[in-house]
Amino acid sequence: MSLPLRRPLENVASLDRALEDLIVRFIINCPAEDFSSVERELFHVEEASWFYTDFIKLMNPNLPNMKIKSFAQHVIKLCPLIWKWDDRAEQALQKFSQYKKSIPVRGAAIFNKSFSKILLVKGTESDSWSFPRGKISKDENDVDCCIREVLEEINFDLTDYIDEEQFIERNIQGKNYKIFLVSGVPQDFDFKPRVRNEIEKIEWREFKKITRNGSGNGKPNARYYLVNSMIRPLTLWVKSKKQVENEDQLKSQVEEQLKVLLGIKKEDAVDPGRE
Amino acid sequence: MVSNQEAMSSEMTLDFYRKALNFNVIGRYDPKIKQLLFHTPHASVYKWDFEKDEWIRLDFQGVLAVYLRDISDGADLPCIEEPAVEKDFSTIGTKTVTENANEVLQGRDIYNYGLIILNRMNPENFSLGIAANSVINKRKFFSGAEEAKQPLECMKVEVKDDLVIIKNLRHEVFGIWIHTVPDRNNVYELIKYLLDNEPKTTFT
Repeated sequence: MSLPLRRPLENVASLDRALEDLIVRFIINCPAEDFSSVERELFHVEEASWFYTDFIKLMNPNLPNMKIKSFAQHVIKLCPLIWKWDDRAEQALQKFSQYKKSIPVRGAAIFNKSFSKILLVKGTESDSWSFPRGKISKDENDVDCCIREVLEEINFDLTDYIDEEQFIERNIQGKNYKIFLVSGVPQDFDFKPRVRNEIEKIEWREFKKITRNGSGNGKPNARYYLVNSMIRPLTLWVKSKKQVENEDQLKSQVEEQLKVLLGIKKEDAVDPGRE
Repeated sequence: MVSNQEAMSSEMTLDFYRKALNFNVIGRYDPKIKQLLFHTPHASVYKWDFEKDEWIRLDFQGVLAVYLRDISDGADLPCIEEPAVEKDFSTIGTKTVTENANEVLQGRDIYNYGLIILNRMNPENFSLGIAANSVINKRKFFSGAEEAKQPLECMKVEVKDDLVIIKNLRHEVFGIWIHTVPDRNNVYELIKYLLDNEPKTTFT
């Protein structure tokens, strides 16, 4: 039974008030170990800044737009006690983005049943399309990370589709990407992002078109991030999968025909009640 | 030595500031807060689904605090209408916040204590009104009209499988997972104490 709580965030008196709320929610109450490095603390500041854009700014349109940099500066100014490092926020944020680059990313190349289409997403702050993907969390394994990130970005649970042996791995600018290969995902599923302000669009794209665009003239296509560098292994995988499927189909066709030739009826079981 | 002392005092200043800010911010949600009794950095909430016989994870994760409330004015709880924006947020996740959140208390404010989780997932916080068992028993006998409007049962608390399990005033069951392991027991002991003893108006 909940107490009737007020909703101070719906109509905040000032930016400082909103920030105080965020400092309490995200930063000042963190366990001591989260204050052990600039990076770990900035993770919480970043989370708070997302909450600011996703909720508080939306409910209070008169508040300023703030990206992580100005947000961090405001927070530190309001509550200097939480900042025990010599670095200024700007420098620290630079280090932070450097640090984030070194965190491995896991994602999934999602195909429909016939392998004709691939599901891609476009982020809100980017013009290019790519696989649903995200950074690995502490103590999380590759498959779990992939399932979690895909669930967050398109609301589809890959648990029954993913095969931990089937993936493509790449290192791009020092960052490790592992993209799992998945097929048979229903095309008519109602994909939508669970997390706000991260994914702008989710679309099925003709795989053939992408391959043509990507590798046709040797120039990388800026519209497809990550997909480009994986076009060849992707195509190979699709080909081999299709082959296996064709062979399976062929086998079952041959089986059918043989049965007809040999006079084996499909319904072998006799209805016992009528004997 | 000097630097050590300095570090100690800055740690104490931070702690003092943390308590003050926590109090202020919680007070904006529940203005009747009188004293913070306990807080732990991170908790998440599950609700027991009696039909399916399983825990359902709710969209609440964050700082957990237990606090003393000032109900000496004997007033009724305020009625707070559903906000228009809430629907917006609840459609984003798969589970809607409203359908999983617990019922809001009405009528005479007899709740000496409150538990709150300041949510990091969305603006909606998790809250439980806590009344000592003696208060609930008295209410049954002396406030028939109130009891008829919203019948209440005594709360219960236990620790099991890493969860602090709380049966609320309507016997809905919530499981609270607390990040800091020793705090699981601390929360349990505190709530048990609050339920089993006559309500206090101050803690020193």
